[in-house]
Amino acid sequence: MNTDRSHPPRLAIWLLRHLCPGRNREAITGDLLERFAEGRSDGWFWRQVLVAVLVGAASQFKLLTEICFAAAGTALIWCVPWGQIFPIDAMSSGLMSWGERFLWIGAIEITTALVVLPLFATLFRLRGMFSGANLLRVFFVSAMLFIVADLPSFWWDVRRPISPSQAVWVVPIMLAWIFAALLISARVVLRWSMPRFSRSHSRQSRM
Amino acid sequence: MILLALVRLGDDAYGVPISKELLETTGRDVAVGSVYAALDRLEQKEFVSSMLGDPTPARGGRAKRYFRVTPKGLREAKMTKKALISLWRGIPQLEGERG
Repeated sequence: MNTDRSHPPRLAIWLLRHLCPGRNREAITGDLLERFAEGRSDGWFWRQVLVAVLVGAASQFKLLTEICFAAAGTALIWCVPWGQIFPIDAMSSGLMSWGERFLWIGAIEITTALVVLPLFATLFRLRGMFSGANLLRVFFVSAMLFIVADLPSFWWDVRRPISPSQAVWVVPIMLAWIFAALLISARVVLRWSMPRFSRSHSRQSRM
Repeated sequence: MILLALVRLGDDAYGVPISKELLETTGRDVAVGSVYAALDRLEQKEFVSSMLGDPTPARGGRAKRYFRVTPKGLREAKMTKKALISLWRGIPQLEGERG
């Protein structure tokens, strides 16, 4: 049995470092090391680590579920209009110049990014993180991701249009990307907007 | 309970003192991970705020995360106390008992 109070179980520390959510990882690890140094047992340390990892995973899962609902809802909202608005026929028949494609893609993707905002607003409200800044962030991140996804269409050869069998896949692929882009946007913005901690230098001098 | 523990601890409220305070007052050894999960929820509701202290060698160079009850949290604690008192009253089975 480990009796060295300065060396807690290595595997437990490894689990904390890799599986505990980043936001609380440092504070929880420090607290557990502090209490372990006070004389707590290896078993106590392991129990604490397992609870921290499980509780952290549960909160992450809850967050992911909310994001999935928001993203799926938005993708469903756009399912019908997207297929009707996006000029697939014109693109696949080679009628569109690169300039026209760029304008279409820009307009559609910015509109799409605007349409997803109400769902993100709901998500942020649920998480107690609603703010204009968060909405602006999610707008820019999602619009950027949508436009990036469309970049391959610039290289479609207007003289050799894609075949109808290939065109069939365009809309499902676009929808899948919208879904993925929404997930990515939400993750980026949620991580970005976590309450920032200020390091308290005055606290150290007080202690 | 955690809100009240924070109020009692004042400026020194981080994970270790909070879990010790809970152990002393309730007799239950609450896991540190559960304490942080509850504190995260309270922070989302703006009942508490947190900030990182400086890393210390005793904690393997890890910083402490200090918590403080916000005015909104204090109001909520008072409202909860009021609600509990009114719920507690008028229960014959509990008359004469002291919580």
